[in-house]
Amino acid sequence: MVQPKLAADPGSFKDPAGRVYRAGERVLRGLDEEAAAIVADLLRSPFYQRLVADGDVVGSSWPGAADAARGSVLADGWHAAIEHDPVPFLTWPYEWPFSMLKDAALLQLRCLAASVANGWVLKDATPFNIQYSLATGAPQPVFIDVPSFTPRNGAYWHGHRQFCATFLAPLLLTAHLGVPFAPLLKAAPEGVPPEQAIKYFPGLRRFRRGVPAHIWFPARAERALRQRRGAPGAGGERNYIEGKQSQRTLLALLSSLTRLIRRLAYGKPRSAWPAYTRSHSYDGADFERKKAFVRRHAAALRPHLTWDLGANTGVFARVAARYSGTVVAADADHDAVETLYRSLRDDKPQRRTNRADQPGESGECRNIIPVVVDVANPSPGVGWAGSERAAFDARGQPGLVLCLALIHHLRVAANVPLPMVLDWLRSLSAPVVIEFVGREDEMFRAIIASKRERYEDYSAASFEAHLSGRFQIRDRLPLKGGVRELFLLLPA
Amino acid sequence: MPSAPPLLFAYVDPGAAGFVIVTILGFLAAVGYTIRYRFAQLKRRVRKLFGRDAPEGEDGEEADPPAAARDAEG
Repeated sequence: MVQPKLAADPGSFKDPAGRVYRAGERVLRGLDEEAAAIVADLLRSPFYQRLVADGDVVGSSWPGAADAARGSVLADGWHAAIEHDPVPFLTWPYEWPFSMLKDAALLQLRCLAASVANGWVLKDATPFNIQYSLATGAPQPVFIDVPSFTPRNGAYWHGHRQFCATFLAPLLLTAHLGVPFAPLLKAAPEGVPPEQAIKYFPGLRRFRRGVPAHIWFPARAERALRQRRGAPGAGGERNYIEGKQSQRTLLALLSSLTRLIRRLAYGKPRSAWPAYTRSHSYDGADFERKKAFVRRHAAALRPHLTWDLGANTGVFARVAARYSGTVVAADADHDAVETLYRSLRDDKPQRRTNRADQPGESGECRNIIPVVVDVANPSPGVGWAGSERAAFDARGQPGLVLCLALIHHLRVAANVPLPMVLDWLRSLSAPVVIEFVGREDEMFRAIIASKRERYEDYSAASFEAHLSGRFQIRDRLPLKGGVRELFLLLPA
Repeated sequence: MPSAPPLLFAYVDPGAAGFVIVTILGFLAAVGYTIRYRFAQLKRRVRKLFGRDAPEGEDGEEADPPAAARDAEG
């Protein structure tokens, strides 16, 4: 049997005590001798076993001595190799809506509090150590950086600044001011440091909940320290890296942060898109035919991974989810994705079924990972050499792509010519269910109403002409009296 | 007083203030927690005195020690 090739994860290099490798679907981590001993202790700790059992921390195990992938990791110079349960699709914090970052922050605090209470601590506090898992059937944050657990030995919490910069400040900016955090975290994955964050809270705003303690005070303290230590001969060599903190005050601080974050709310969605599910231009019969088309082809293809591009609140993602291992539901609209995540998280789970003729998918399948991704500007590679955090379309190979009522937005709102849209879709090397919205459609007329350009190149005839050489049309279904049409496209 | 050349600022790790910040915030959080805990206890006693039991969990989230601390204390 051919073993999958072992490849070092380009985003795993900051901790010299270990490195993540991928071997096909498997995730292994090489550890040095000291880290291996610490991880072995950790895996035996009851508090850690409880975190794993609760789904808060990724499951891990030691591969057997005969395991080829383990052998390859050891051959790369590591003392030991541990295997982690894989997550279905990597997402980054700048692709999460508010509630996903909030739930990740609460998970970080939960793991840290449990650790501190048992004599351990987490080395760092970044949302990049958290991924979304579907182990319970619905998206749930899971802590993946196992070597981040380390014995505390009474040390103070070194991760407070990082926690505030990468979790708390972004949440405060969105909850208190409506400032989206995604562009900030995408441009600066190290987060929003206190001195930068406080500039968003001038005057009385600095008295908003959580700001005085975790933004204003650290900003003032850092500024004072920098001015004092920056002066020549000011004794900059003095530091408190070995400083101690009592368990009780640290737990009280974590409890206070947990209460603060629980109370932060995004509020009601502010954009019109979440209501689109109810206000779309279809009549009931056409809408059901559209769902049936998606259902039929998802059922036939049974993809391991489905991408729903322009997913809105996930009506069709749910249809496809019943037949897919994982559905990644991507939409540019934060509020639509926020609505989808909350419904996936809060809906009561129902039995998953393989029957293809059951109407009404709502609430039935929740194996969906929602992400805020604009197809016209998808997440690029970020970090060192542009590969530390992979670009959206470099993470996993979809087995089915849904692109429903999106193409007119890409052509008109984003000004991407049809051939370029189809080239990008073709580059995914997957079957595509695409909905073409014709020029006569009221939604198309609405979208070009404020445009001087008439987009004469955009027509059903040119769309089909551009498909040639890129895709084969395997199935098609006219909707709304032929104003729209669904296609199943296979890569040519 | 001469001001520091800007280049020197780059050599000061802003996280170096972390110990002072975390110690002060931890102390304040512990004081806050103790006040909330005592207040909740007092509220429970007053309610008991007047024969009105607090519904289960009403004061719990604010008053109970952090769950993790209870774990630590066994």
